[in-house]
Amino acid sequence: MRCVKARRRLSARADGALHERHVPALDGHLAACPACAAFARSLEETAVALRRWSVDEPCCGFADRVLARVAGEGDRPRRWRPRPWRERLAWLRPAPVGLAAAAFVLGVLLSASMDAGGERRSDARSAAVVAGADTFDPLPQDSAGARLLELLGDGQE
Amino acid sequence: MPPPSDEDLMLSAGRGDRQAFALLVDRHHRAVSQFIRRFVGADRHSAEDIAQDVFLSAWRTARSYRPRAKVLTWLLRIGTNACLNHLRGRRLRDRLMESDQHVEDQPATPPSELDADSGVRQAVEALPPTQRAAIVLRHYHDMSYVDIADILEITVGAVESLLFRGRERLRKLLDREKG
Repeated sequence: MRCVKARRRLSARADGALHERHVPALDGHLAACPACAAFARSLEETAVALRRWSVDEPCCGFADRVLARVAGEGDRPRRWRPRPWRERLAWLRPAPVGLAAAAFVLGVLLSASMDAGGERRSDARSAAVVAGADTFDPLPQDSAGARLLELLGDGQE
Repeated sequence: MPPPSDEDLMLSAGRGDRQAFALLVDRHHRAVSQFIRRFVGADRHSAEDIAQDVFLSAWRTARSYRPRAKVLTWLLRIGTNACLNHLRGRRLRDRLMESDQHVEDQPATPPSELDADSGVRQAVEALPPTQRAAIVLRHYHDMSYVDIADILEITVGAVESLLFRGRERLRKLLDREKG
């Protein structure tokens, strides 16, 4: 028997989980292997050391505190169920009024800025026309747009 | 009349019987609290918080309890998951703080546990969580391999392996402390 196997079996024997048929081979190995015999002794010492660690009793009234929390849970244990969408989106409920107000303000601001922009653009275009300049770049000769204009008769003018 | 079994009480609790659940809490709160204290190395108050959460969770899921599992095994399975979550949270917190401050925040060990037990306690706390759980369940709760396997949701072979490796490590840690 190899030492690793013997040590595993020693651990199982400490728990009373070693099958009887393995005992003679294990004892034979321990008699012949001082390292594993020392391991067996130190396992016993470890078990003794573990027994030294005691912890206090739970605080008095623990059961009452648990039962008070249980009482706050309602009449019957609940079966788990997914939260309905209405509940999941509950945080959106106060939103519509705010959203409407925000949309209104945004709309007013946008329309004001568009008016100002449009005025600026039309002023620029008027100035260009007055100056006799072509406001837009002409289309390239053989571009698809130019051919389309040709087909529509626009190019003949 | 013999007292009702844990399983009967749990089934009654699943139907909303608070008295039955109170009896179960009374029977098992010591074992659950002590398991949690040894597993997470927490002070009494933190351990109590976790233990309360375990029983509350047991009440909430009482309907899903099936009598094929022992009630204490079932409670300790819930407790193991709660402890693992607690340890994950603590690790994350420690990593986030990365300063000496978190050492100060650690719960102080009660004086009664500082003397003879502190070496053992530190050695057990140095084990990886699953080895620690297996060692605590075997040595302090006298659980069989089958029950430990049920609690940790692993095979019996894996329990044997965890216990072997846990003891091996504990032995080295305790020897180092002695030497």
